[in-house]
Amino acid sequence: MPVEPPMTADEHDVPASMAGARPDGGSHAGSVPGRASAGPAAPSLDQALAGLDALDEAGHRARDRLSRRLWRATWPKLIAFGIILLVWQIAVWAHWRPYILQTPSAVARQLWELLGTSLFWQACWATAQQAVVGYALVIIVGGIVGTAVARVAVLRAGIGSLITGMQTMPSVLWYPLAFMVFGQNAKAIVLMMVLGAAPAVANGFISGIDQVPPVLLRAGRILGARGLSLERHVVLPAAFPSVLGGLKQGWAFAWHALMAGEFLILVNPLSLGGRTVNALTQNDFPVVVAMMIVIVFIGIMVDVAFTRVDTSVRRRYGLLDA
Amino acid sequence: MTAVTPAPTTWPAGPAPSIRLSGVSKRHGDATSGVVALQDISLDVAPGEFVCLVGASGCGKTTLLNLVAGLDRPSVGTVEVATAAADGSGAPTAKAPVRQSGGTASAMLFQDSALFPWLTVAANVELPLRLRSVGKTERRAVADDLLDRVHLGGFGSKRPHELSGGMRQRAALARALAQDAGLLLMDEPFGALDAITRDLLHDELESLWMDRGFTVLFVTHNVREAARLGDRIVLLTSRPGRVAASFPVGLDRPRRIDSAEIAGLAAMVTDQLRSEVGRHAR
Repeated sequence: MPVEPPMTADEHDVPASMAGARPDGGSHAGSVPGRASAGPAAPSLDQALAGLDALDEAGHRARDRLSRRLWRATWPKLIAFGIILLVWQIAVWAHWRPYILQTPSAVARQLWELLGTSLFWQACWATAQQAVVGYALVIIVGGIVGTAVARVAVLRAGIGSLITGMQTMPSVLWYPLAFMVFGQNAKAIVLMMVLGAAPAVANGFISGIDQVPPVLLRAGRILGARGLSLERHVVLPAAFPSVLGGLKQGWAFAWHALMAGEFLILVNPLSLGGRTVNALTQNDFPVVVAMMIVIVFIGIMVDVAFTRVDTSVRRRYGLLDA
Repeated sequence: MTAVTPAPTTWPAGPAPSIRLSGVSKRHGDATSGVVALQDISLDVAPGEFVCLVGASGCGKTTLLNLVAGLDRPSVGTVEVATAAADGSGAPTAKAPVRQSGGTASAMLFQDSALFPWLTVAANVELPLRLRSVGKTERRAVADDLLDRVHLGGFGSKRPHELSGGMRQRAALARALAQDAGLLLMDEPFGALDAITRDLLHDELESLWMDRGFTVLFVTHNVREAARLGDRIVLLTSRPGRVAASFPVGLDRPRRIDSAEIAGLAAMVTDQLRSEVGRHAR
């Protein structure tokens, strides 16, 4: 900060260099003596602020058209898909495992045929029901445990690191336990899903609540939010992007656990997993691969949906550029 | 006129103060290894007064504001804050748009606007009203008024991150005014802004304050800013924070930050601030 000598009240005719000096060293016009009193040409505050705001606004770019963005997202996927088909076809041409491996077109025909059967849609429906029930329970358990651990110091010390550790466990590891507890029963699959996926959801809640900026909490309290209203109006919305990340990861783990459960526990032969195992026992390559494609497709679709929600939330929160 | 004589640190007898700190000390941590943030601070702020607290880092500015806001308790001493305009002294918020009995005692502005990113600008301004259960239509009308008042009419549907730093601070100001608190605490609110924006926001704040007559406790490390805005500059020492001196600023308003009188006063405060800071050299 520049140091000026003290001056008396009537000293209006100060040198320009002094009258224009700013404490923070900003450049100044520095040419008009007597700038100390407001000149007649000075614009109004309204006008000056409006001008400044207009300058700030000008920098924002418009987003590309939807069709353009779609195309940009799609073509790399199409090329990747094409390469996979090509490698597969080459393997067939090269007579690798000739009695098992069949061409992509044979599988495609099989898939097309499957899509026309009501049995296939029954399988999808059975698996979807199981997925919804299991995932709902994953969210409930994960949410409660996560919130409790984030809020209670003893719980955090006790099981905080356990939750992170559980996240690294493959869900198949829960199969023996689930099978022993519930036997050949849909409940066993739900147990596998909860044990496999709830830790990821809980972690989303924990890190979300941990990372609420303290200044927002302080602002919320000053504005009059206390206790539950602070949770509802500040903590939960502030934690939401991270919670959503946990839900997305939790879905991936729940889907893994569900598929492992359907393959191993064989509760419902009409589910997607059950049908696949059935085809496997009959050495029916086209059906096995067709079911795999269906299962991967469902997983990808749900992931895409999550990513879209995630992106729009992040954009709304200002966590994304542009 | 320039009145640059150091004054006694307490307000002379007159109307009941808006804020009264008596012998306030605050220690963070335990008695042996803790840090004394504030020591024996006594300070009265009159209703409608604009007081600027100036100090180097470590003077406990934020701690002091937290005490006044009721977010923290003093280790020793008492903090009294008059509740809004309810005492009828000088009608501080007589021109405010809402007169809710449940108005919070103090509003605060931060260096970071602390707007909630998940709400639109208008919803941010409405939030304090919502927390006081004000009806939807009234809320909307008040928020529109306030946004117009801070020259943000038409920006209500934007998200905070879509606004510039200066616009965010104006939106935060509108949200603070929606509290109808009668006391505005400001924690280096313009510290992160460029000089041109800051200059305009000084004008904006001064005109709002002259309109509405709320009490302001404004923390800054920018001495010029303090001289530009305050009725009185209170200089705090660092580690521990104590009141070193108090300078009444008897300059006419509206003021300009580049006026000679403000430069002169700022130079004087700066000299004393430097000698305070110099005492910490090892």
